Amino acid sequence: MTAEQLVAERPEGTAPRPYVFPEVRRLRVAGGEIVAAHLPGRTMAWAGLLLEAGVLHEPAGLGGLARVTGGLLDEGTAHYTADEFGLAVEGLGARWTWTHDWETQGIGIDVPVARLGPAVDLLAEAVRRPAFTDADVERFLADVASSLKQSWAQPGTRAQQAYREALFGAGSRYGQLLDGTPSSNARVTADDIRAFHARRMTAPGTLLVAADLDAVDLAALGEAVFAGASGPDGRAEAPPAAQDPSGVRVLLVDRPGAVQSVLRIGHTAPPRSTPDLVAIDLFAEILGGSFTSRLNHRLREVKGYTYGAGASFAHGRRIGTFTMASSVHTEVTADAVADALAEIRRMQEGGVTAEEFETTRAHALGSMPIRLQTPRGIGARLREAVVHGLPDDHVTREYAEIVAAEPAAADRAAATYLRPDALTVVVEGDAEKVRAGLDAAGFEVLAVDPQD
Amino acid sequence: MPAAFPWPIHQTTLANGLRVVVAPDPSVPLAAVNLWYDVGARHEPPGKHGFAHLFEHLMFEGSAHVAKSEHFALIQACGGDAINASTNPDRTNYYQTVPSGRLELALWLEADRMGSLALTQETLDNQRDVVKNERRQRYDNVPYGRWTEVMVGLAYPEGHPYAHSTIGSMAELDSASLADFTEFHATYYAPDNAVLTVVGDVDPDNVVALAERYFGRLTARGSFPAPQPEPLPRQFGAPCAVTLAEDVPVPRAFLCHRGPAWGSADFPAAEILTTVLGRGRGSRLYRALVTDRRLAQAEGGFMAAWGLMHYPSMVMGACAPREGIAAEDVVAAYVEVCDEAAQGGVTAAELDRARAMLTADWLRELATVNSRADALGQYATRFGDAEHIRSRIELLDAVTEEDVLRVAAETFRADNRIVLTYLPEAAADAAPPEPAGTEDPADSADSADSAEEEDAA
Repeated sequence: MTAEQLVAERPEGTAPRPYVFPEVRRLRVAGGEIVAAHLPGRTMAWAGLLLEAGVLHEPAGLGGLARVTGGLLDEGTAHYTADEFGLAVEGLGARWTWTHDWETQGIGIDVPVARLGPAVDLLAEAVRRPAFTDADVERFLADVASSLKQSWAQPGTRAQQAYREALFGAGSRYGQLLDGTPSSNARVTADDIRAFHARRMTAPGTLLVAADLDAVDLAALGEAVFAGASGPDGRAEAPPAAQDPSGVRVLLVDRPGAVQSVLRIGHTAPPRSTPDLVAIDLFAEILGGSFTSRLNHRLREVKGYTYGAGASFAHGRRIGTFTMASSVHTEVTADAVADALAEIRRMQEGGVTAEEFETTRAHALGSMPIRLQTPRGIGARLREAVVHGLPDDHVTREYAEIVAAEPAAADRAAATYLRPDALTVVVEGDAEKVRAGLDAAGFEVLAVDPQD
Repeated sequence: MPAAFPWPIHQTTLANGLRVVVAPDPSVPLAAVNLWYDVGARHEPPGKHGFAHLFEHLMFEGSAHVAKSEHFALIQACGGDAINASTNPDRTNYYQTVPSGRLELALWLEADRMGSLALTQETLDNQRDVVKNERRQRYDNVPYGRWTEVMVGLAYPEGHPYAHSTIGSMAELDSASLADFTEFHATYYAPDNAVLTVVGDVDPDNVVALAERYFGRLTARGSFPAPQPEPLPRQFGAPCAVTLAEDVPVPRAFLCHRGPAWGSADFPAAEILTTVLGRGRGSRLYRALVTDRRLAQAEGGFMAAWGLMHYPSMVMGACAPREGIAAEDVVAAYVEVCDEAAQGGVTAAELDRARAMLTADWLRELATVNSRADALGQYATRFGDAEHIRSRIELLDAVTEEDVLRVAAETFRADNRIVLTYLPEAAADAAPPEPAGTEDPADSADSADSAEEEDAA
């Protein structure tokens, strides 16, 4: 086949239409609030109840309590055994969706819109009337213990534990993994679970709905979920502020025999409320967000060190993190770390190019409707609005902000929010093989052994 | 329930054999552009396993008018997303979703790499390293990581197109030369071996005109070498049990039964059967092994019908004992549940639950233009006619209790079962020696395979 058979000239095309987030309706009913996005004609629907019941509300030493409490909601209720409840959900063609973070939990259900009513009845049954029988709790905790044992054997878990501890300190809840350790989970009892539910999951909360609202009786959904709910819903106390380290340090977690090293490199970052959110996300996308990002290009496409490399900011309600992550071939570990640090520094010092900025802006704008095609995806943006106190049209506003953004703002944000001299580097790999290279590269290397 | 596939489907075949499928949907400002090439790991000869997948990576390394990595860059710069490709034993797909006004750019990019490849030793070496790291990340550096590779080596006779891994071995990847890939492109990447699907806010006549403009001058190949394996019997023919002692945190058993292929008459019944037995919180295996008997750990899924298309596929499953329970006891309980279904079938209520789950899954799959386009590409490739997609729900609804019983009886037999058990090294040392005749496939590097997909990014 020859090139003459191909069209040489690259076609242009027309610019995308501006994105507008679906219409959002708010409704107060039975003491709770509903926030609903209208998706006309959609056959699938999603509803979720958002509660201030995240892991920061756990008593000290019981890391994992929020997760097991949330996970047990659909394992037996006042009117259904655990098995019956599963059959009831699945009989509707529904999928249980459950998310949690530092501050909140979201208990949701993804279902054909014609069955949203009975699905939300089940959701209410699970959240408001869980049974927490001793037998179900014992069984569930045993499964959690086993699954933690397996995840702590996977590469990356111990690296992540060491990373969080280095960033926030062992005494801070932020310094542990979201779901705690095997040993903190082992301390959780059935009484802890019942108490956590009573204390944190009996408030009305906020019901999020993403559906064809012409086919849904929103008030009835609210009645089902909010009836009789009246618990505390205050926010958790913020953990103490973390101090930056005085210089770059490498923490080495031994994984004997590993053929790859897991890397976690980063530092703390501002919360989502920062006025520089859009500028941060734009430079972060260029640094490590996409396939064509500087980090993936250098570590994968030029060097072949890895299957993929990236970096991103996580924007929490009170604090955030900046983290670069990759898994690299054992033999090139020190070189890969050096390359990653160099790219972070280059971005901090030199900012973005005009071309990078324009293509990344276009991608951010054009990909919005591609990433928001499902009710569940729309629901996640509703959740974000409620968690962070944003206006109903925050996604549409974000679109406008990206349209108006300037490269200089991204440069300023990179200079401000990247701190290449205060990075914590965690390497989880075969210490015997990677230690010498890291030493030779001049890093201050400290062996750590994160305890489970 | 809404219609199984409410959108119109327009199909055209260009003079050079390229099949063009268009399913307009003006409700989104997007165009999903998807190519299915009818070539996969099943076409790889011995010694060249992993080459179809490595080739897929090379398709992002440039073509006559597109530089290395530029495919990704141009799609993103025009506001596109959901860009990638994957290889499995049956096929290779390439896809992206763009704002509908940028449809032409996506077609131009796909045509350029269908018709040309700008391959250098440097890009080959680079992507070989990337794929070797992919192998490390997904197979070699994780507990149980090689289980699919081992399992398909046991489930198919040596040399069968499904008996080797999609990722390939390190030695095979090392041996790959430039000529392997220029030849692979020349052999399989042609308009008459592909289906182009476009879904979204597009006009079918315009899509066909653009396809004609960008792909129309590419030459048809006419024929494509395909493997010709001996037909497989319905069952493996003998029971098989293999135990591996490795550095794993807890014991875990994987079970495989030979099952019907995707697109065959019995596949919908196999999907219903495996959903009743092994999928979700209300499945029989969950209730029996976890809630009732407290033998196994909870799993997201205990069993699934794998959808390989060209030869008999597999009903695949896994279970892990609770602490203090022996692996063989949980396997025995698992097999009991299978046997029960083989003898007594399933109930009408179980059939209804499975149908509700599979029907809702279908609605989820069709909810995005990207996955809708991929599904159309699969139906067009498998049946030669994308209209077959409309029969999806009808076929599920037509499955009777008798169908499920028959498929269960044919599938769940001792002579149609492979049990692959992983034990932690320390525990295995203390255990009695394995019975004679148990083979250890971990020693034979080329007995490997996976039916799982491998992505470029």
